[in-house]
Amino acid sequence: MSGTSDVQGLRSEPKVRAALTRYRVMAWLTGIGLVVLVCIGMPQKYLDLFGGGDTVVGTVGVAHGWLYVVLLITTFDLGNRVRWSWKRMILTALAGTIPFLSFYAEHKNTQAVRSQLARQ
Amino acid sequence: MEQDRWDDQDRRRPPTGRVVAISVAALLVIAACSVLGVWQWQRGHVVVTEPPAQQPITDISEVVDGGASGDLAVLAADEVGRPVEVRGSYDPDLTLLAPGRPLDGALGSWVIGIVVLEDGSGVPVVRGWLPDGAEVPATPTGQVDLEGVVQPPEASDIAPSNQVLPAGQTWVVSAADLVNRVDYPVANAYVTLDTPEAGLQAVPPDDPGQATRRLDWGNLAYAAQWWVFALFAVVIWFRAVRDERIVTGQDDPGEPQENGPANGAGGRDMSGAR
Repeated sequence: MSGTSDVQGLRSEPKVRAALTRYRVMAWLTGIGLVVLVCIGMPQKYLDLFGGGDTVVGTVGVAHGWLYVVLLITTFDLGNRVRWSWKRMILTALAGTIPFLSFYAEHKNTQAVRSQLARQ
Repeated sequence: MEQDRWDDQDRRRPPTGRVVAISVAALLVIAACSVLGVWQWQRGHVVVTEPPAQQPITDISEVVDGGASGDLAVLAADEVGRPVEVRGSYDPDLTLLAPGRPLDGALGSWVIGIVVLEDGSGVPVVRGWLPDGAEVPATPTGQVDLEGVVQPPEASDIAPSNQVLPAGQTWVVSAADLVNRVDYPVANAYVTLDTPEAGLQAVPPDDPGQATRRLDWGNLAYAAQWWVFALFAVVIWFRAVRDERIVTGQDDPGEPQENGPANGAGGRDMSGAR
């Protein structure tokens, strides 16, 4: 292994920070959308709670699908910049499909990127 | 040439087995996502037909307005047959019978009233069917909240006869006829009630209207999303194969900050997205 900062090559720290922000925003939006979908939308549609109907599934569900697509893009962008392994990218992407786990993944990823930046 | 360099780097531990496993898994995921996308694409292209009767109930003023001169002055073709709600009060001075109307094999009359809306315009309402010889029920008084199906006005040529009718009768339900009988604007349509008053029978709508046809955009969006996931799998697959071949097993996914390329001489430029 050669010199750390050189090998890690995070030469454009502001860009990494921006990518991290983009990822975090999308992780939170997608995470909240998923929780609303699972905790309100699904019971409304399938258990006839909250007045029944599919208003939440019809709106939040559709939005969540596209938010998740953007989350995938921001995940790959950030992962590329900070040299995540492909496994971490997959785990991060999969975590985005599980309610609440997405928030934990976001927290761990943010910690990891920040310590990586601090170490430079 | 590229291949040669990789082979050179991989001398310590040829990752062929893992690369093959990753590739098989990736291809399965890509195939699954693509197939799901095609499935949603086909579902999205099934044309959904929606008869007007199945549309949600809407206020009559959203469909046709006797006081309007623009779009709402006449009933649009795709609004015929829609369920509507009419709120107002019956004009106590207007009750008409349209004779010569069969229902279930018997001959009778339609009982026609006009409900005056809040804005002062009137909506012709077919209150129901009355068998010949029966007495016309009194017009309901006060505020009414009625549900029925909106129909286009009848043309004068459907009149079974051109014989002159006694006062209080008319051959057709038409605003053109009704405006001569009242002193307020009347909607150019009529509503036939779902549940008539006692003594009357419901008149089924003559014109069920045209079913609307549309693509299902929700399914088309899902199709696009599945293909994005397939694309993501492709990107990760390339990335995984490259990592496996370059890093030769020294990659630790849990600690990305320690992911120095083991033999960095390759100039592993990760900044460019692939």
